[in-house]
Amino acid sequence: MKSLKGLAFRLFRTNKFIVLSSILSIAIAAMLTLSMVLFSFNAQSTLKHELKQMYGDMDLSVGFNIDQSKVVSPSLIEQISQNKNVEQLSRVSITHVTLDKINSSTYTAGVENSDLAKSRYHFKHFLNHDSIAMNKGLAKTLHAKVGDKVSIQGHSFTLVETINDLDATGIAPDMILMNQKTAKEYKRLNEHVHADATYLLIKAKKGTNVLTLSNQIKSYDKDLRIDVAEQDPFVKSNLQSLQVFVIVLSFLVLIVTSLLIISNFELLLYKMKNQFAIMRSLGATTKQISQLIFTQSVIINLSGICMGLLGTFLSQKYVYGWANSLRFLHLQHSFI
Amino acid sequence: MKLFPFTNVLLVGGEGLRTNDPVIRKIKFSFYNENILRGEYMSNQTVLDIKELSKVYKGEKYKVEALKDISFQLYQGEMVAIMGTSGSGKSTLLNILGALDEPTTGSIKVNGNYSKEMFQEPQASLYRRDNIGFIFQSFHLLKDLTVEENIALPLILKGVKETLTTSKVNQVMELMGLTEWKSHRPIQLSGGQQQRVAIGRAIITEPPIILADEPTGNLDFNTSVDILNALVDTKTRLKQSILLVTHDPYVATYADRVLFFHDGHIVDEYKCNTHNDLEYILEKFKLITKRQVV
Repeated sequence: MKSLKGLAFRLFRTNKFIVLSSILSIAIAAMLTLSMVLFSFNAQSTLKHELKQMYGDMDLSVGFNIDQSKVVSPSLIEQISQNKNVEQLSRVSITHVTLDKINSSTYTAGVENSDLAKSRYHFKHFLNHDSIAMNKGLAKTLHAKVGDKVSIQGHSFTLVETINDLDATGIAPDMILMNQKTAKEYKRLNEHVHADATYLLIKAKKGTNVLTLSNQIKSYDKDLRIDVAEQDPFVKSNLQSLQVFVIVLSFLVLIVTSLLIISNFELLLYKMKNQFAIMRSLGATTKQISQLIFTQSVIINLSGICMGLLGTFLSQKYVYGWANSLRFLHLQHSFI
Repeated sequence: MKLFPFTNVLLVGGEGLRTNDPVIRKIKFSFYNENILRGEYMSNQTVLDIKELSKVYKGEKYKVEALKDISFQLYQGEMVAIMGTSGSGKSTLLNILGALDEPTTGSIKVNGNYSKEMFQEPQASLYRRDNIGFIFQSFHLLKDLTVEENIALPLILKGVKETLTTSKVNQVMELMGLTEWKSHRPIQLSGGQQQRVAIGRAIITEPPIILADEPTGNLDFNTSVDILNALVDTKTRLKQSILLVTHDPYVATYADRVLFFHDGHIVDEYKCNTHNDLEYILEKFKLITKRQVV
């Protein structure tokens, strides 16, 4: 013991139990806080993953409602693609074609072979004029496998891919994906509509506010219907639930940890009051006593935070995994 | 155990001295053979000049005058004992002189200097650090520190260099006969040894004033004599002034002067220089306590 710092260390020995309980309370506080933060990040990333699953890289879809007489024209497409906030744009033509085998009209999306369209409709293969993709449910109904021929309105197509059934996403359960130009032809043939596309998929540049971009696009034509992926009611309700959950939990964590820390430090200071009084009689200044308390607080806090970090790491690595394996804890899905 | 065990008898019943008692005879013998260097190292330099000091504690429904116009001087190398009954203001005076409490009125000159701010922080702490050494009845050692560390504490608080601290601590431990106990904790020591550590801690910074509050109050007779001799010895060596509060007339005989306190006043003063000191102090104390009892 050569200095005030040394003295601070030595005084810990007298109050081992309280010092330990103070360190533990800080560790618990750190663990709770870290778990909350990790939980929030985890939930957010899960939500983003869900969003990506549903919409791919698409941020906006732009088109007109069916009851409107307007169609997406080449000039509108040109105007939108010129917008500096638009990174990628992909045409989609929606129509219904008749499958000869079951003689049924089926929802069909004509898509370009762009990354944006592939991410949105979850297909991987290149779709040419003679190839199609469909959801697994429809393929099962048709007893068709990849590589089989499927006849649509007298024309034979090769099934090049089957995609997962996108249930609970708002998309029609049965769907055929074909080349956008072919679909455009079917639309002209079946519905007598001459449109360059039914709607456009848009990927905004990184950092762009999609609502601002949608307003900019809306200014090109006030009748345009713009769907923003982030504003999806399903996503929005999840986000709101998450926010409420995080706020309530944070509040509880704050109360519990504050009480723990305050009570422990009060007890520690009460125990050390006698020692500080002796030091005061020996000429210790207020600054020196404060320095002692500060040093002790720093040691307690740092030790507690380190223990909390370690505890969080271990619990994340082992306890959560174990709990998940027992199907007791499904944090990722509990609120989505 | 009280150094003078009949003090309590005097306080309560006033039965007087039972001089045939072997214990009192031992005390007397010890006293008459004491080789106290009383007054030899005293100078005319005033260390503490206390003038019209008073302290009033006020509450919503009460007002207590703990000290009333106290005036006296403490000279360099002098030991002054303050005797008085409980509640007579002795401890209040010591607290004020140690800047642990503030007087209501009056002034204190330390080495001829008067500072209005001496009771304000950080001046109060600095004043204590540079001028005062405290010795308490219950020692007030830091129980987690060793003997060596307890003695070194004032120097650490003063920011003295490690090498100087080590040599000074060794000197003081040698002086107090504590060298072989240097690594022990207070709890491992006897009461007398603990009080020696407290004295060592009080004198290590060589303060000009030692304030001792019942330093032998918790010690047996022989240990008390040892401690008093140690106090007188260090006072002589370091030319310190000691203000000692005690209930015990025998302890008071070690002082150069005795101030008798009653109800916040100094009611009498006695200079110890004769062989009848103990009798005089006892009689005086008896009178004061009777006054309180009546």
